[in-house]
Amino acid sequence: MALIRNVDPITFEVLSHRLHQITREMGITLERTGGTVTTTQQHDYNASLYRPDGDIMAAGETYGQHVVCAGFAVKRIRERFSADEIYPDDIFLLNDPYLAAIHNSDVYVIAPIHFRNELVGWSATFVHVSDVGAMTPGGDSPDATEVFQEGIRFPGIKLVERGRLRRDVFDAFTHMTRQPDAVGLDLKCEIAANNVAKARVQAMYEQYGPEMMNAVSTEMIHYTETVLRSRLREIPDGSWSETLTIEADGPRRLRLTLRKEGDQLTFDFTGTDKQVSKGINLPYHGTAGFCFGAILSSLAYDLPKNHGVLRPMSVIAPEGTLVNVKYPGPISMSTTSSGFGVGFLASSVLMQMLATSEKWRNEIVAPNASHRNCRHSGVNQYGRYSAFINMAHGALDGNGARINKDGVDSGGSYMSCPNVEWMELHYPLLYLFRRHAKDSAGAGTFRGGAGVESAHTLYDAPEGKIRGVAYGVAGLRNSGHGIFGGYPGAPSMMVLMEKTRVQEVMGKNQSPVDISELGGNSKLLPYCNFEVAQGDVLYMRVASGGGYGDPLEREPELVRQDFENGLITRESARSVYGAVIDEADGKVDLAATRELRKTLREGELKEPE
Amino acid sequence: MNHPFREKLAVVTDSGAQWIRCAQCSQSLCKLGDSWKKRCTRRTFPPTHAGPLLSQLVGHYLLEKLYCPSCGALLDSELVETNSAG
Repeated sequence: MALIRNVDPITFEVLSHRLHQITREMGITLERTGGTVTTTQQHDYNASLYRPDGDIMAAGETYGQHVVCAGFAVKRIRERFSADEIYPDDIFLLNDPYLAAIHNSDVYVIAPIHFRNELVGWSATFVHVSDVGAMTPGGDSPDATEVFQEGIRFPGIKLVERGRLRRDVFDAFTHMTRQPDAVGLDLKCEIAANNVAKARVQAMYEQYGPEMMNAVSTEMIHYTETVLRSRLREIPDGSWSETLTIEADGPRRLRLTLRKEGDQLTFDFTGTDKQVSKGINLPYHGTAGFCFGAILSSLAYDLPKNHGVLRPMSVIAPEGTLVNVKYPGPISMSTTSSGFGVGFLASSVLMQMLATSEKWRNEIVAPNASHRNCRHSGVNQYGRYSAFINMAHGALDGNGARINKDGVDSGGSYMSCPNVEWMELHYPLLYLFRRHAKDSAGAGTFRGGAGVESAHTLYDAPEGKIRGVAYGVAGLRNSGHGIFGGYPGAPSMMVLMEKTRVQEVMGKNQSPVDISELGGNSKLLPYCNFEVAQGDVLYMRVASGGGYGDPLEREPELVRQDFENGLITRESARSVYGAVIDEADGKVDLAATRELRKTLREGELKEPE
Repeated sequence: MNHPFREKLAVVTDSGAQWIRCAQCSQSLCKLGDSWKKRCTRRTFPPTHAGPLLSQLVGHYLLEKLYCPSCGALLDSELVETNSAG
């Protein structure tokens, strides 16, 4: 069967790339016109194009899960409005997690694209707005027990009608938030991005005509599906399982079994724990979206990103569980908890599957069960209130090791992180340090990437405090998991150190880089609200990559380089890697290393007494 | 069909059946579909065996390592809850 039918291959390539370039231009528009750092610097957004029926035509570059969920949003709009109610130049808004969004803060803005009065497609964006009027500023609400406490929910409404902004809708939404100006700017940047999409797609229709454009978008999906299915057929059938424990008032378990039969993948979450009265529950479409994202990054990263990735996969997610929440369960922290948990599980089982294929095993990356993170709210040094200051340190996670190379140090798992100076310029925070955490990378023949640790204290905060929300994947099993003998990365954690000596130390012109010398009362933060007051220090360590293969088989010279670069201690070089680094000349003693490794392995294998 | 199973393990067809074998020493562990982990040499260690920053897991988790019962090749390392370590 031909991979590309009805279109000459060159035209296909040119138009396919042009459609994807439109999604990139939509993203640039969001970044340049957005109202908050989350959009303009941290890239917490998505921008994609859809077929008239809501199938994905061209996915943007950022989040796989939101590409799928925005497709659900298009389908919900089509169900809610009849064809004769959808006019050219309308733009819709939807943020209801029980319909298509993952949590209320992710606001989808969706626009029909008409050509000569015919609906030919849709564009859709999401940005994470800075507030939605939930019980906790910023949206993520650890104390919410129902979705009604998690902010405003719009099930799909016209934000722009026939090209005119509906001020009543715009005001109704923004006035429900603590930061109407910033949220309003974010809504308008989404309108701008959708307008860019519409203009660019219509120009392509004008240039190439509806018949060619329809043929190209049909063939893009067909091509991706065909190639992906052929790749799946190259891999032996089988099933693979993984679990993840999240701590939310007790251990909560997510379970996934992947079954691969021929060219079909089934992600089965049967056995996952029931939903809880805390907002870590994920809607079904979010679960499907995170599975889509895992396939996209492992088996389809080089293909046109579209609905063809979804077609070979199905998802079984029992209702009333952490991966298919039943109304009105709370969901506000779902993305970064169960969502990233699902992403980890899906990635882990796919890696196990790839390991059975000589051809595809080179794509293996040790999976990452994500990190802790926090958001702040409060008044800054200029007297301005912010509901949402995302520390975005997940962008500094260490990546998992691969079959033939180390993971990237602070390579990031998503988003981008502003530099320290920018954060200090805009918020009443002082960074004591932000650096790679020594001994954090999961050991292996190839090690994981080192994650970042940082510590912050208040500086020039008019109220003498700011509020914080702790979210992410809570518990001790987050961070990178080792694979095939490789070790896990250090767990990600957040510690609030109250009433420390930080002011006193800085008063002596000393650099407070060793937090163990700062004293104070330390507490590990679960999912919770908290306050950072004068003299407190907030310590955060993000995820570090898991290792690949036996650490005792790591090239000794690479161990030495890690030691020299400050990523591991001499003691870890010795005890974890069995590498002896000469204290006098700093070189590896190869004979002593061989002997030590033999001794270590024999010791491990000895029968326990 | 012979193919890799994971690092240091392979699936090999022999006498009409598919077996999971150590790729390093060819020791047969079990039939494909059976639990190869049950055939491994199993040892547990404190989490800090994997590095000092795993000290917070002490008391909650153990690092379980699985080796080929014949040649001692390391096949898997996994953190397991203390009360489920076998």
